[in-house]
Amino acid sequence: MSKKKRKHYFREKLPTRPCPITIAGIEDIDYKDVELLKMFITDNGKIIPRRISGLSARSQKKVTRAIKQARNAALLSFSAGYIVQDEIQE
Amino acid sequence: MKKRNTYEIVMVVDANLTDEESQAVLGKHKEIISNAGGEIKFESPWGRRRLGYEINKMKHGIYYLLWAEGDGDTIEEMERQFGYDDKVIKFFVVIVDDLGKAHSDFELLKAEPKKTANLVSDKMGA
Repeated sequence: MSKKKRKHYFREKLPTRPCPITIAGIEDIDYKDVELLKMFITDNGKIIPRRISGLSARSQKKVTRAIKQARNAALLSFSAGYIVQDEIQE
Repeated sequence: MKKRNTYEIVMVVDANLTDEESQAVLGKHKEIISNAGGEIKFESPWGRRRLGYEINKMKHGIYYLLWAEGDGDTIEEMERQFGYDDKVIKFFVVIVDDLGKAHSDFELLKAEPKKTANLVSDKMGA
């Protein structure tokens, strides 16, 4: 059997979108800013990849670092999504 | 002489304690830091929060943030003492460049927790 000729699929080029964090003018991403970080994690607590989140490489690195720090400080979960804070404060 | 660094210390105290008790725990550890050659510049409470995951079967914790200057030995001693104390359920230390800026940034974040998130979600569109 001859080698199957591989078909070339051309992925349709999607319109490029600017990185939302860069155009919002945020320079430093703080690990305590859980409201921002929850936008970049799934319901299972995973970090959303760059091809889906649409962040620039620089922003994605900062977000990843912040999420990992937040997990260590028990601000975010390793295995569940964002933890909703109780409404009634003590 | 060891290199002195500026640290941000997150300290999570057992939420079953009363206000006075948790303040006492905070005071005790502040004293440990100053005795170990550290210097606390700012401190800020973050209140009772739900934890990202259970720690020792506790779902809540009282967060305190400290911004301190010190060297590696200070942090080593502090972490050792945190380990001995059952009332401190979690701690987390990072090096920051500017203590004053870190403190004021945190106060802003505490006042408006959703500010940056709203800025970004506006730009994300859908």
